[in-house]
Amino acid sequence: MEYARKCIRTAYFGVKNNFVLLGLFVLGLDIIAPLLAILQVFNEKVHSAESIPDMMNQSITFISGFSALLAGIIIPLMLFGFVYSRRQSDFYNSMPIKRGQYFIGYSISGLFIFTVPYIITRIIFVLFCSVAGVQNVSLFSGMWQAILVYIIVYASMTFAIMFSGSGLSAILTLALMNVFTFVLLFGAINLGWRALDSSAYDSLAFSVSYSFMPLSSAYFLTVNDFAYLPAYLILTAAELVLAFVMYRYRKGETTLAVAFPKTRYILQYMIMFVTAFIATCKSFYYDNFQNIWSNIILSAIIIVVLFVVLNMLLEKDFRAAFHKIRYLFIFAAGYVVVVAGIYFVVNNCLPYYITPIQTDAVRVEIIRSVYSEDVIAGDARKHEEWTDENGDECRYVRDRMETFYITDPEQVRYVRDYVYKYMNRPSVTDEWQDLQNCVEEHKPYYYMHIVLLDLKDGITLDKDMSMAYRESSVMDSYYCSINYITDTQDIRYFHDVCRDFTWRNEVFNEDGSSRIVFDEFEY
Amino acid sequence: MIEIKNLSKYFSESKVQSLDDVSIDIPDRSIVGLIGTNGAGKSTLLRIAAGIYRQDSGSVLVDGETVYENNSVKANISYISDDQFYQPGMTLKRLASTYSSLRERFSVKKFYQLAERFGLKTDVRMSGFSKGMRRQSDIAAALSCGAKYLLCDETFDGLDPLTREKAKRIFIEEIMDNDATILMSSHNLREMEDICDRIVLIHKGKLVISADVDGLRGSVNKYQVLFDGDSSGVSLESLNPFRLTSSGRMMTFIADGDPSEVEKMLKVIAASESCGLSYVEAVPLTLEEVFTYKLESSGLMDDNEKEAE
Repeated sequence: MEYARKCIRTAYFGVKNNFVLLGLFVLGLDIIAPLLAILQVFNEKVHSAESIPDMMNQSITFISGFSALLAGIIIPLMLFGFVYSRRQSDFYNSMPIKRGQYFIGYSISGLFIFTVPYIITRIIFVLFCSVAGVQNVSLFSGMWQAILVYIIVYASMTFAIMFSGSGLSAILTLALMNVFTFVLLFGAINLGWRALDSSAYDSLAFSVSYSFMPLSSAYFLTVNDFAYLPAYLILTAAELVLAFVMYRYRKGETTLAVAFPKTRYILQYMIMFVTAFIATCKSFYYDNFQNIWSNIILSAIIIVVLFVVLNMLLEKDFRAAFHKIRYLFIFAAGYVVVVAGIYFVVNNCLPYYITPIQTDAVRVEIIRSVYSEDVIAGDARKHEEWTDENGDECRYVRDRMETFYITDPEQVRYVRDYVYKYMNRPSVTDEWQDLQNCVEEHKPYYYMHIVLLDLKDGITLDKDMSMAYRESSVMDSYYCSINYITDTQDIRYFHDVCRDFTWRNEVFNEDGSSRIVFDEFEY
Repeated sequence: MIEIKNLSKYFSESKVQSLDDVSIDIPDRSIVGLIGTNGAGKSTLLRIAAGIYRQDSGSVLVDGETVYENNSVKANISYISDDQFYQPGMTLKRLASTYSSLRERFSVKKFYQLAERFGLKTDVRMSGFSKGMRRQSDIAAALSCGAKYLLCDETFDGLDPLTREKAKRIFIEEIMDNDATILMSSHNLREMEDICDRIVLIHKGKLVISADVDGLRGSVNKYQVLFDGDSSGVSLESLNPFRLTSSGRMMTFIADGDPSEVEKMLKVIAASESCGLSYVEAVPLTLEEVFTYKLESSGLMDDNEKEAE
């Protein structure tokens, strides 16, 4: 009881001590946010078919999510920033209040500083809307999501503060926490894009990354996507516990950029690795190792520059620029080993193609885009526009040139692997250059959809049936990957190889729906 | 009572052994001065005693209990830093409000009374205060906490004599009325000599002396000895002399111990050397000289410091 009473007392002190911050949030949230939301809606209403109350709810929810994100970063810095100052640390630690009581008490203060103005904001917003003649605006829509976003981001920021020794290194730590998984996974995918089906791994990588990126909660929770919520909650709890432990054992006398001196090198080399890895992988992805020396030089420059800059920042001393330079060489050697390991070993050991679904059939679509001066009115799906360097508009028509199904599992696997392993895979730069050339020279270009279909139990493609693309009554899920082809030779070769396969052709009805006609098809 | 036993603290950041096996007892109702040069470890010791830092080894017991993360003990300790923290725009009123939020036994009434005694205005921003006025605010706040132990880090340094006298009177009142115990640090021995009844000298993290002021004053003396004959052959090893000089019949040296005992030993030595003793004079050293002697004789002073002396 005494412990809890002290926490509440500390929480009260935290609010009283940060009255200015509270005032700013009242001003920002209670007055500016509702006005912004209303102005945004009135600005956009002419372009939208949604009702005004729905737009109001969406607008205030979106702004609330952003406010919660900002609050989750700023409030912990204001409350716990005293750990960075020896004078403030001495003052507060000399008081008869345990560190745990400060931690819990200030956390309660932070929640109060954000939540109370936010609730008042919603009330004022509803009142503003009523005055403006807009009824049926929800008081509670999106409220708990905003509070959850605040708590999630607050936990991350508090962890970063307790880990670091200055505000700048706290921000760096928070940024690193949010990009590390993303960069590692996507970098590795970009590095292995020839050996892996990058689009398949991309969706998996997104899911994993977002689970470890607390800042992304501001978007997903605001748009009512709760797929990552369990991961966020577990991560939040872990961060709060670790932050508490670090604060408890943090040395009050530190003046370094990180609170625990031995972790300073971890922070430095993780930042160096992440940044260099992005550059290396992206450079490889776009150049496909055609300019390997420029790739190496770029990576080396980034590593050296970051080494120097981070040494100075983290030691808070310009003269520390080249301290422990032997670590730089060790890091560089390790970096080469890691990158080479991912490219030559890891990517070749991973399954080429990962999908979360049971593939029952494959639908292959070859779509041709052809330049046409005729404007196709009405059907937006078939008409696209492209503005070239001279500012001329080019209009393209898409034809679904061929669509067919393969149901034999062996043939499904063959088609899948063939397309990605054996067909011409230029670098991304070359790919886009080819596409642009086709547009400018008015030549057709093709792209191929390979759609893996996970049919519902009992559904087969053995008989005529109506099946619209992505129809949920027929399939449990699907996975679609796209490959751009600018060389028609690839298409012919693809068909030649698959000549002996059994194809099911698809015929479109006049109303746009499709049905499968099981005739043998030869190209 | 504050019991400090075998206290050690190492700062890995600056690679400094700030405290090395220091043991001190601070009796109740006393004013103890902690003396030392810059970087001696005084502030570190006070911060550990206040529960701000945690020691690497050893213990600090206040009334038999450890201090670190112990609210009931820390409620009885009031710490005044050498560089106290004030929030921007803080006034004495706000300072009182801050303390009363963080310390349950803080007496706002007593704080205002002390501020009035020091002649401080409660509505004026403390950023406009002089150094001495800030120190007075610190003292007023610390004494209003209802704490039994006051730990003051260079609080009296830089105060003018009148203010120092006022503060000393207030401290003594606190001891008499509230059984307070005060541990204060300074690098100015003359100021501490007036206020404290016990002195602790720390040098480079090690304890050199811990003794009553009065006892220290007479403990080390400078002797001038005149022998009847040539003194060059006379050996005074048994007296363990320091800075011994010999010129003809005259010898001068510094020695520890009661002057009458030293004189007796000199007579014995003179008799054994068949050299009569004409004259012995013992001149008490100042406290500064005593400390210098203690440091030099214990080998804790390096060559640069000796040269400075």
